[in-house]
Amino acid sequence: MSAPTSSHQVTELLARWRDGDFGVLDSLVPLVYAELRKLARSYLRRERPDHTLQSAALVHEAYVRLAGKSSPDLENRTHFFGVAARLMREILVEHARSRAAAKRGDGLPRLALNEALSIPQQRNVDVILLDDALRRLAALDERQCRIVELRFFAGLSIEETSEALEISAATVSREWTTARLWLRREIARTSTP
Amino acid sequence: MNPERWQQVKELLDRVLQKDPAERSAFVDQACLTDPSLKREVESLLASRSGHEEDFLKSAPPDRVWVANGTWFGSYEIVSLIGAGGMGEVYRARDERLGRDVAVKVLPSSLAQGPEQLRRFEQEARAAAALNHPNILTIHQIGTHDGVPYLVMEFLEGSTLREQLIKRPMQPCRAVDCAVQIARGLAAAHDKGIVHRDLKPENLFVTKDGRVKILDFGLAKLTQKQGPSDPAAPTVGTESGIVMGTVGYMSPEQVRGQEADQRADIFAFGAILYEALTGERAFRKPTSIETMGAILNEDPPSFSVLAPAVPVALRKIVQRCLEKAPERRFQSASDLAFALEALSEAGSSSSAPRISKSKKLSRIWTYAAISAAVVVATVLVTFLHDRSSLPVPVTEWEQLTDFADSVTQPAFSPDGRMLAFLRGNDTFTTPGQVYVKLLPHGNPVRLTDDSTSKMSPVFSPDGANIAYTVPWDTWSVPVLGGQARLWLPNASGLTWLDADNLMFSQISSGNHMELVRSDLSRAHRQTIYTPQSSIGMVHRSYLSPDRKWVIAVEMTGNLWQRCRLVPFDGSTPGTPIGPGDAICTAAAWSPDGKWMYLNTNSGRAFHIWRQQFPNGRIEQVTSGPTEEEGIAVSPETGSIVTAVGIRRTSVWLHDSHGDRTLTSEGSAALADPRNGSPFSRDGKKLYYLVRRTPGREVRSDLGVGELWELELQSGASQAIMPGFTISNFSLSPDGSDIAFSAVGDDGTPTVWVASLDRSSSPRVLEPSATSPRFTPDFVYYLRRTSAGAYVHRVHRDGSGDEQIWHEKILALATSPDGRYLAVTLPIEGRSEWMLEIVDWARRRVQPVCKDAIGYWSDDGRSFIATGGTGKRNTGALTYLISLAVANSPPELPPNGLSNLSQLASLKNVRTIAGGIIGHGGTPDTYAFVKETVQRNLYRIPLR
Repeated sequence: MSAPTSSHQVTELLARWRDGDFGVLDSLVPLVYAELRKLARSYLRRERPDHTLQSAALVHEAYVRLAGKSSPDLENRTHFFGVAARLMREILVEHARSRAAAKRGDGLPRLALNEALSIPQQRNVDVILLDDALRRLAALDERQCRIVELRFFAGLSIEETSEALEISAATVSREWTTARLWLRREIARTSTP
Repeated sequence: MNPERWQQVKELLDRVLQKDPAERSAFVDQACLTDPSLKREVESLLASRSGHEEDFLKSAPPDRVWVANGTWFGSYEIVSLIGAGGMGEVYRARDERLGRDVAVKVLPSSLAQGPEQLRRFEQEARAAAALNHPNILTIHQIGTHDGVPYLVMEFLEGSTLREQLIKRPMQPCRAVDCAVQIARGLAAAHDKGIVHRDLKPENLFVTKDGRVKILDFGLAKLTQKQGPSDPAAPTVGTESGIVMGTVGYMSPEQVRGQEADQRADIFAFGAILYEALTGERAFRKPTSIETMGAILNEDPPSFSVLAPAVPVALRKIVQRCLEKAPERRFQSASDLAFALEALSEAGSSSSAPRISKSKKLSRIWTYAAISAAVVVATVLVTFLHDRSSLPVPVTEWEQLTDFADSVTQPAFSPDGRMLAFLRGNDTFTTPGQVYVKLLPHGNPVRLTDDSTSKMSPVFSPDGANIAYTVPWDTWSVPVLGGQARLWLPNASGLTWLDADNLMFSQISSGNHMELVRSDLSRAHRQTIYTPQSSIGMVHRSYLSPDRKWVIAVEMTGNLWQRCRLVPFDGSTPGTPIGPGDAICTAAAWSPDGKWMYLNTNSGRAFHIWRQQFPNGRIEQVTSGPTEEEGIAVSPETGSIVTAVGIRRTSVWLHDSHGDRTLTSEGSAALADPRNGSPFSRDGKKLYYLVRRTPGREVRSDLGVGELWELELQSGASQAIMPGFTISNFSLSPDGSDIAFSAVGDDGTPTVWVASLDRSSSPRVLEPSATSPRFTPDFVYYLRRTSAGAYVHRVHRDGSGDEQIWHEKILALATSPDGRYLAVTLPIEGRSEWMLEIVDWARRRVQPVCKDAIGYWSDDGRSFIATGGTGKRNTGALTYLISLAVANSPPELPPNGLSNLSQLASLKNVRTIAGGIIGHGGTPDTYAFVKETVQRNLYRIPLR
């Protein structure tokens, strides 16, 4: 399959954005959003919890599709992931909400079943609760919220996150640890009656 | 809480986390003496830690179905949840009817949305359920409950391999025992055409009595298939492949999103066995993306570091499973099981009592055991040692001819006593003559004496004549001497099937060349294979000894493809064979039909490879600094004859000072100059190609390869678009950018645009496109579609793409201002092409000549014409026509020329000896390619 025709468009937009032309975000976001949504829709339908890829793979895949496989520009990549992480969060929350709405009344627990049963290999988290908690975290510390988005929704490593946000890896690591503690407590509070 | 407070909390939390856990409580007390609410906050945050915080937030949300205890699934009552497996929750249930416990796996409801998906789910699940094997989990029943699909399976007690591996790696003998069981289960499934595609330790269950069961067969595929009604679904498996596999055990082809067959399971098996033996994952990196990179490019850490106790033979089996190319792995799980069993028997201490016990058994059993042992030994030798006997050492090659120049394309006579070959430089159509040589010591005898290009000589069944291709007709010459004559028009790569029947390629339209068979009268003709691409051509073909299969050698555009195995009856288009990334220019069968010999290039050089028919293992037969060209299999002796040699090309500059060489690489060439000069606008740099990629030029003056930039003043050169296999390019009039056509892994060309100073990465201008020409406002190019190639133009920013000429053409040159096109198009009903100049806006056409190449210099002041790609003769000439008006067509008779040499009589024409040139800034400056080839026939023994 050849890359979509919008491929060079995205690469160029990212380059312009990196060079400080923040106006291009307006053109970039809809392209990335459409691509992520398209992928997510087919992907969420057949999702499997024990796979480590998931949203990270999705974002990566969207990048490959939009920016082209032969675009080795790492700086472009982190910028892209910065945009995509936020969009990915929106898409997952939207999906979770519609699913919850569809199943309301079935006695479906809000917390994922396996989380509740504490099956060790499960690592699921209720996206809606996470999203609410992230909103509150953003009010306290916007940067921590960004770190969580990049790490969780775009699957960036500590190093990649540090590159995307232009802060040291040590800072990312520290902030990531405390943010997770905070989120974990917040989610536990809201999900326990 | 407010942001300031959170900063305070966070800071303290950081400091607490630095402390040893035992000291934390005291430290918090101390730090919060005056602030009890800060203490509460920090303590509650610390309390939210649990055993698995490393995993918290590392995965996206699930799509689950929840089933309450006591729910009835058919006649099964759910008792309790056992766990969550790869494909859904597993419950323990009671089968009231038979009074037994079963396991019920409830699958994600998304698997069966809509009747079509449901039908497919049932179909796939039934196929999996039909597998009846002790090493595959038995499925009792398939059903749906409120639209939720479920499987009823045998209830097992034990644990997954993953749980076992968490504790410790396995002892080699235990691992081999498990591995044999897994391989047997895989073999049973693969025999029925069912591939797992998601094999991993979580999917392997070890029962309490040590039996291994494979779980979830056939289910991974279900999740990958997309319903036809799903508009959001990707059209190819690429995307789903990437997302779905378990990353650490995915095969390289799954990572790439390619079709995965049973060999993907063999790769996963290798990764699992590696992990079982070493305790470490074969491919594990901090992120999934890096892991995928490792799967594609890295070998797992060596056994000698991680698990030195693992026997070498076992390591080799694991390595063989983990080969990146599917062709190089074990080709079937039964082969694999066999190799493992042999290993376990060889090393088993229990083999002695087993032999003594056998004495009591019947004679037949003993006999069977002995023959099995022989087979096992043979297999072991084959798998573990055979590779070392290939390639055949050069010291065993026997030189048959001794020409100072080059011979190519050998063919044996039916009795094996004579060889026919061409004396010429090129391995495709080459100017040169047909020769024969009586073996072993006869002097080569020349049979032809003309200036045509030739290809693929072959003996007639009675050995009296040699047929060969003169593009694109078949000519014949008597072996005992006599006049060569045109024998069969529009037939190339001809071979005799028997005395009365032929197989050859014929042009159906344009340069679409299909493979057909017919009798001598050509009355009863039957198509064997038609290339899918409208510019696909079968150039050579080889019938198997049992007359059931044909190996087709094909080209798309001017690029060789992989060889293809097609059924002789033409019932299917067949499948590509040989190494996955290798183009292939010639082939042959072993006399017993068990091996297919292929002349392929999977790196930078052409060598002989062979593959076991039909899709067995692949081996390299020749290697070394030479390249091998053509394959003739001796009908008698176990040997092949091939042309072995070295070809060197270099780019030369002609100017007022004379001729001098510019390049030092052995395979430097010029790109097709039809749409742009190889010189920079200021004349200070030259752009040329170096073959470092698996491409092969069809002629020496039309290169394919990596683009290099040479400073003419200093002689310094560097690769400027590394990694791209480029065939033609054009520099922008302002000198800042370059548009180039690069060939992808699948052979499709793409037009890219890049800045020459490399200030930005190349970007795709147009996919499925070639022959770009920069003009001040547009890039003109040739768009490839399934119907043919058409002329388009597009703004350099990618906007305003439009088709500008209606005819389907074969090749394109555009004048530097974009007003005129020099197009090559087929002459209806004949295997010939016409060069025409088109004033596309005014719809005027000026014919030039048959079988010619024509193009403008970058300054538009010259028009250059030379012989065409196929019909190139010895002593080729190039004509340089100075134009009175720049960017105009040369003045020609209204009906064109009957022969290109008539150009010599026109005014303002200079004649240059040689083929295509790259025009420089002045009429007297140009670059050209010089080639030296030394190639002779060698006999290579086979074993």
